[in-house]
Amino acid sequence: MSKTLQHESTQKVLQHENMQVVLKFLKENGTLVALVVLMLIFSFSDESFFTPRNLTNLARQTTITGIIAVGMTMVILINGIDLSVGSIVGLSAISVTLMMQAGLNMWLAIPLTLILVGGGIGLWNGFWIAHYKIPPFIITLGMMTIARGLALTFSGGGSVPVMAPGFRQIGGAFLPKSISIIIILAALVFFFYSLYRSIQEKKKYGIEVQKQEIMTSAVIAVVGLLLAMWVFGSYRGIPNPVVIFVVIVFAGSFVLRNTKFGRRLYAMGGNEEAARLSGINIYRTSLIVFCTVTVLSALAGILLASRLNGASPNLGNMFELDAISAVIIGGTSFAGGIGTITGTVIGAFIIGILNNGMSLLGVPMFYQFIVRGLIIILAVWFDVLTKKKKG
Amino acid sequence: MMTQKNYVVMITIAVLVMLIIPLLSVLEAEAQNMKIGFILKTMQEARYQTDKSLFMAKAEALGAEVLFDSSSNNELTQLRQVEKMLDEGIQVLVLQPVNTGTAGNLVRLAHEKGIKVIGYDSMLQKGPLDLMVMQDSWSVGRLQGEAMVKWFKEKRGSVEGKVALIMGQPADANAAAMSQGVLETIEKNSGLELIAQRSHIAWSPDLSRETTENLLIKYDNQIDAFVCNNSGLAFGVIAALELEGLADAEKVFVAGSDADLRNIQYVVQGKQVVEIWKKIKPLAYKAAEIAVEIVKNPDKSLPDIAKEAVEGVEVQKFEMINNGYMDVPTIITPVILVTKDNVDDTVIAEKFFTKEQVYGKEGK
Repeated sequence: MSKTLQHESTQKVLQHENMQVVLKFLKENGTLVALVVLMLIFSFSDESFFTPRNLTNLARQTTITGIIAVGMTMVILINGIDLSVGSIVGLSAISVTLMMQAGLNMWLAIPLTLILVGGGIGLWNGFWIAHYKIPPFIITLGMMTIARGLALTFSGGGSVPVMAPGFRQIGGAFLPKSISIIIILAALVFFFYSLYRSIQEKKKYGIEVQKQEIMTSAVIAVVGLLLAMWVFGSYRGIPNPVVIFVVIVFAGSFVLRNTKFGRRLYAMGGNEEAARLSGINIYRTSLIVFCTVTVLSALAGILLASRLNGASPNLGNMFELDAISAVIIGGTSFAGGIGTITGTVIGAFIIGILNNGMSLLGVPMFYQFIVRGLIIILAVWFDVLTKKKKG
Repeated sequence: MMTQKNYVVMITIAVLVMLIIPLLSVLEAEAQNMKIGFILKTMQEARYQTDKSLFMAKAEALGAEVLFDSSSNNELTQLRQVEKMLDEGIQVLVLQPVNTGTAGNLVRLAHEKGIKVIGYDSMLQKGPLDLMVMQDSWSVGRLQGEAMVKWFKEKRGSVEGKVALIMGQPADANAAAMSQGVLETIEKNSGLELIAQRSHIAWSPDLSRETTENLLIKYDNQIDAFVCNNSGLAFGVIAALELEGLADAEKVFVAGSDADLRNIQYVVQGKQVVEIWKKIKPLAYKAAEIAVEIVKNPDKSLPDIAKEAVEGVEVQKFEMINNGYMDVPTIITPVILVTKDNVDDTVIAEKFFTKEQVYGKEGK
């Protein structure tokens, strides 16, 4: 009698522990779970969704929002916001195409656009925000209309075609299949090597190694990279814009995690006054962050112009909302101080999958808007819920 | 850094400018006696520059003064502009409504002051309107449809295949009118299958590219025709087709409408099959003429004015069109189909584009 009771109670404890593990996993990887669930739903409802060709297409369609969202993550981390990114996409697309129309070489027009449109507007935004302490919402709201107005002015309201044959390749070409596979394999090896290194280091400094966390990240990385290998290896290779996106994501992640500058952003978002008192140069840091997001937006504009092989002044309309949504869905706190690039990438893919999947299914545009809005609210609600439990 | 003095100077200048400009326009207005208000919904597309300059040139040549404004696609802005122009004493208003569904109230506002309103380009729905001048939006879709049927016969031997309709701004009256003609063609030809009918916010070429990419995947590239409500949308479609090596007038039928330069270039390069050219000149000129006519003969019946206006002009027609509230006397100006074969005789012959613009520097 007592034996069975004991048995039951250990079982309960075990069950409880299992539940804890699952809950913890859900808490920490909620958006990733949402991404997988969405993929499953669309895979079952449309047979063309889970094919290498569509997933390649999906990755390519997501990169434009994704690139902007990486910059937006940094801005929101320091408790800022940039509403001008969509208009900058339009302005940079118009600028680069107009420069080429005027006879400038492509490889001159692209850096010039990045510096003039991206760097210039970033400095302007950052200056007003850092120097006069004007809320970023207002300054970038102003720039949103200014940049759109400039795009309309430069183009005379019309569209700009591109004649240079190489320009389309930037956004349209692929890395060859064999090179793509080698890169993905190298990434896999590199991942295990750095995992091994971090375990060694933790052991060296006597920090507890959490097996479960390591297992989770290893499984996610392996599944992700194998999926990438199947997708890109069996269609046409990795699309160029995806390569650019991946480089930006890694650079962004590295900066946020492993550099002094990155850690300062978290400190500033947590408490700007405390950050200032501890010797962080708020002015310079803000300037750099606001420049980063505009340069990335200008790059997104160039990629978009390349994909269309031309530009219209109203390109990038509402992109700011897509980028901000990606960041928020990815778990970055709107109050600053908390957030990761990885989260943002997942957020961007959730939006990308929703757009692509609903378009494949032929869902009318009106419903698409409603669904996307609901997903954003759900994501923030989930965020609030899990944070409450922690506290 | 700016000193306080500089600020004061700047603000003073700004205030002066703001005061002087309206003052000048009032003074100028005193000098003439015929006053026409002209409001466009936006200046976003290149064509509206042409609308504005042609209309003003014609009206001024006829001895009228034009008060012009554009509303940035914002209906509240447009309301304020109408109120302002009525205060400034215009004698007739030519209006392209931002919101075709609610602009009836703007017309009522004018009628309270005894001012007549001519609709321009976009048909006002479910509200009063004195007269309408518009392009033949229904013909756009019909012409695209006819060209598509002809293409199927020539390239495929039979009128059978999958068609995607790429539409503009959801709920836009013009987009709906243009699409209707296409839908009628598809209904008449049982071999044609409408596989998608998608709207695109802000007429975005980028969104139409994504739609096309997704459709090509869903149907494994087996789509025969894309019919688009405007040039920008067609441009996005071609960008997606190009990636699959399908941007070829022999393989896939693509139709646009607006005759943007880059689309006309695609037509001569054999990537796009047809474009529709909406001539702005007859539209803007006719609206200006009618406006002056109404000011000069305030007691003449409006349908008579409209009928007389199209007499002797072969391609323009007069019709009473029901807009859900009343029968509006309407003048309809023509649209023209542009193909590879008639580019030289249409857009180039009438100096819409130069030969060099269309064919590139080497010429042909």
